[in-house]
Amino acid sequence: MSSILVIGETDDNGLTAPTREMLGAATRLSAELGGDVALALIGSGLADAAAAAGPAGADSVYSADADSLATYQTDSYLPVALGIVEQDGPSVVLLAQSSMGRDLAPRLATRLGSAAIMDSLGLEIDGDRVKATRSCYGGNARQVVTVQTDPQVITVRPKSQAPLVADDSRSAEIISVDVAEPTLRARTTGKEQAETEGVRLEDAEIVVSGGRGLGGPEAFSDLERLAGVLSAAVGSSRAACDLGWYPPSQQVGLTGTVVSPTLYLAIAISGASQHMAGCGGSKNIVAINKDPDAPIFGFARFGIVDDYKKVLPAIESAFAAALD
Amino acid sequence: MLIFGRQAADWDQGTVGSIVAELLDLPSATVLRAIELNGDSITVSRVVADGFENIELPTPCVLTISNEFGDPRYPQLRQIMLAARKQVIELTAADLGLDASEVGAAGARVQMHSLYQPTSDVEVEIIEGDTPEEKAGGLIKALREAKIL
Repeated sequence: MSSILVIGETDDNGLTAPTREMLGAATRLSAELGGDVALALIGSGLADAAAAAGPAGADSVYSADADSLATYQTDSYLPVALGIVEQDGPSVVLLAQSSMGRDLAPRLATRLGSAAIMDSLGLEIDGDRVKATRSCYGGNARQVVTVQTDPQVITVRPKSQAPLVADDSRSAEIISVDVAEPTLRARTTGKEQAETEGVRLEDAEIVVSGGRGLGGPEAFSDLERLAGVLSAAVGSSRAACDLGWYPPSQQVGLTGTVVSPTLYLAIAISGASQHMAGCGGSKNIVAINKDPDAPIFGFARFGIVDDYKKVLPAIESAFAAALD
Repeated sequence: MLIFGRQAADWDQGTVGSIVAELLDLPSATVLRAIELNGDSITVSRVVADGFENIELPTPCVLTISNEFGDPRYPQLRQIMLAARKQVIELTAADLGLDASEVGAAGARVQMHSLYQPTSDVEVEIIEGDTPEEKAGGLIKALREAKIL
């Protein structure tokens, strides 16, 4: 039995970054709460990821490894996750605020007779509760909440928590979970991969983003060129995505991807709260906008007040020269 | 089909559709950009981090819709007039067989301790310059000095 169970995710590189971040948070919280940190992995071909769990902070790993679990499906993952929670009996269950987490967490919490707090930004212990700070009202407000029932199910925003430095001297006990053949009501029949070149938005250290102020879809190729120079990912505001200028998979914002890069270059983006909910966690924002009163300047560390068309070529060459 | 929005504009939790699906023991698909009917089953396109998933599910089921679904239609005057004649069914907790202790703040399993407006402590530094090159150079210099680059 652990005090905190992290329901993790894996990709081609093993444990995903949000999984490592949750293990970091769970380690910090369990020091106050008492008890161990367990990781649940549900998927197929999990051996390497399970072996990485100990160094990343887990005391034990539940591994539900089956071909039928190769991709996330509500009906196949929910009974497995439920079984692990019931076996482990944690007081807190953490999931990432990801495509999987936002689908699985509310169903899991309800099945357990409890409730879920979604997309937490900050986690603190208060007695036997985890106090979560989260964004609400479209990013305009924050609330501090607790789940009053057990287990406390909480999803965690990627990059909001610090991972541990991997400690290879640590290892976790691996507990193999039996997986029954799932009964699928909803069945995933295929996937369309978004055409993303270069760096993934959620992993990027630098993001170059454009908004409606770009005036048309053509300008995104200029942004892509600048992103190439900076090894950055390209993002877009919802307005620009809704206009069909850039694929929805690249949308940064409340209803898109939430990014927290070291450097966020907001080009011709006004800074609506919808958008800031997706990039407000960036360490540094640089805004380029011809409107000196644009709200984005209220969030930016550095700003250039000018038409992006005039300054972008100069910025691209300046970065190219500086990074050469 | 029970169709929900992906999240409400107040708490942004995005959980009601899934909770209802679970309480009614129905299959669900969330954050959808398209729904297609084919005979007895439904095919939907779900927005995920790196693209879209096609999911087939039977009825009855619960679906939540994302903004990628498209724009709402805007009613014409005649439709607005007609809407006034549509019957609005009002339900109380008692109509649904629920006790007052099970609904609202009294029945909530999540308790709110505070609600506030975050303040930005960032003071923007505007990079000045007479030419685009000066501004670009100024930005690089500022990023270097702040050890961001």
